[in-house]
Amino acid sequence: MGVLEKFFAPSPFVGLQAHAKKVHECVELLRPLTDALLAENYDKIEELHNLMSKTEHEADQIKTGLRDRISSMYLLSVGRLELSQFLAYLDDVADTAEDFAVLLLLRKTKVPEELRTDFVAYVDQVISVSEQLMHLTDKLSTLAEAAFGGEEAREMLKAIEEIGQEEWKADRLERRFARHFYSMEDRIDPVTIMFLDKYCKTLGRVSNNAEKTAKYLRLIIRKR
Amino acid sequence: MEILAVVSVVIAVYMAWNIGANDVANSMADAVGSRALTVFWAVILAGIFEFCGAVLVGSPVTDTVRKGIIDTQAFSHNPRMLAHGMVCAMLAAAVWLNIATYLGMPVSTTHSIVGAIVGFGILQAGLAHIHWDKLGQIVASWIISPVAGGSVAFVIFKLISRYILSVEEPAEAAKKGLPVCVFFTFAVLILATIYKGLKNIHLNLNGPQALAISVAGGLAGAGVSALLIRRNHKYSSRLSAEQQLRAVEKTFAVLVIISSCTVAFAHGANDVANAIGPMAAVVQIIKYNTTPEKVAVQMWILVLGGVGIVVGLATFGYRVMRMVGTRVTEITPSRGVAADLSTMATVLTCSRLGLPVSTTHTLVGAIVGVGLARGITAIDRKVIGSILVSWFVTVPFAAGLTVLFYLIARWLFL
Repeated sequence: MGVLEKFFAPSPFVGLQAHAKKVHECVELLRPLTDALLAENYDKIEELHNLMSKTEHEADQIKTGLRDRISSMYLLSVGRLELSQFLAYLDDVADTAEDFAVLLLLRKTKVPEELRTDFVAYVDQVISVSEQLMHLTDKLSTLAEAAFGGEEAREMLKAIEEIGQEEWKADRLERRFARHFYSMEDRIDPVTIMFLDKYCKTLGRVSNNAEKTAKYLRLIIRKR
Repeated sequence: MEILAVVSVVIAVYMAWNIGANDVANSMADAVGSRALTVFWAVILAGIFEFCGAVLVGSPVTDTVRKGIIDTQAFSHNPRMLAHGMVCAMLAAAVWLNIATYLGMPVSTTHSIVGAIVGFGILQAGLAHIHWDKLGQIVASWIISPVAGGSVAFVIFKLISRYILSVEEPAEAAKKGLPVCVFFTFAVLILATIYKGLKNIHLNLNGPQALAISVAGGLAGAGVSALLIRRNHKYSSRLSAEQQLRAVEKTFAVLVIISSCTVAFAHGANDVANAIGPMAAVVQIIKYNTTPEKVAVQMWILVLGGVGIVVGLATFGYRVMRMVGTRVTEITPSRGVAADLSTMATVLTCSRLGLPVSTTHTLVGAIVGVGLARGITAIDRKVIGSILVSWFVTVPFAAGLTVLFYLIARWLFL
């Protein structure tokens, strides 16, 4: 047989895209979870939490498979370490999303009516940060086709900056939500306050991790 | 005609068949792998260009492989012995190639025949009559050729990426950049072919003449391509960068077909010697019963080698080619062009210098070069390993096989 048909290893970006998609599926579950919490539908939360663990596990499997495959290839256009680290960061996004689901499971928290709009707006913004991250990984293949240079790379770097902007918006919404529920501290019981604070922090970590992942992409693009 | 001559012709054709069955698919891999060409047309074009390369540029390498490695003076008292040895060497190389093809090992036809001749040389002439400096040169060229192929490919792909793929309007840039690529493809090809290359059809040109003709040919090719691109890319500037990249790759698809044909041409020029070199010596020895310093390689021998390669390609190479077509998906036309151009330039240059290099390994080196220029995302580690193993195994194995065949033949016939 000729040597060349065995020579090329499949592009790691296909697996990377699959992983990023699964991770975003986890993050997207935040919205139905939040809706269920606000509707005080705790059975639904239980069900969504199971779905979350399942999706997170699937993402993990994709990641592990991809890592195994990377070890049998020579990666020429991206660094092996960078790619591995990128996968780890993406994984953190899914993990923190799962943390949020676990948090909802711990206590049947009742969220006061007037907080709901701020809460939902914050959750939506967190999801949108993750969605942009997924679009970025989708573009990696095209970027590889342009040999990580030129216009495509510039667009990508711009998009990474924009994710920073989106994350900042999420931070602002987080502060507004937090300020809102602390201003009602004499009307809400302390444990509820504590949990609202935990929701805030966990969601903040989701968007933070998504931003960190995007920023890490710079390294992959800028290699050499 | 003697039986020995007939046997040597048969074995040479068997060897050529093996080359056609195994190696040729690699030379068209970039065109088939990037979906620029269907398998059917790849086989047809490869056949034509392999044949032309073998017949038009084939002869100079033949000399080095045949007489450069062993001191023919050692056999002046018994020229027949050298003929027997050459027949065994050919058979050993061909059998080893066949085994390797069966096992799926990426071996080089050039390495096989050199190893086989060395094996015979050590057995019959002794270590002293091996030209170790020549052999050293050849071994060095095996390392140099992939490195040279890789470096040239790296530079070519960097240029393509910088001036065509990475600019704001790739389609616009392609209009200017592609004819330049075409110019170099044609000029290098024509120069390598006609500069001292067309002795076979009695056309001798000196340096400046050859250079002038190549530049003219390159310009003609570039002009035609510029017109064609202008026609096809009228509306491309309205597209997004991503769509433009696709369109540019489509244009490169035409060029990758041309460049793959030139690799097939270079391959034919380089590798036909492996099959017919020893045979030419055998025929000469039988005719005159001397061990000549230099053997004129006749046209009919080259044609025979070319025919053998084409038949191998048609009977078995087809299958290998189809495998290449379905499995190699990670290469796009622009990468193929860079790898092909570099391979062609390296192999033709080495052929001109009289160094028998491996086309497959040069192409592999070129693809890695494109990869290091961030053109290819990943290659399979295991294949790199098996290539290295085949480098070390082929020469000793072919040498051993030759010794074995020679001893068996002597036991049977003498």
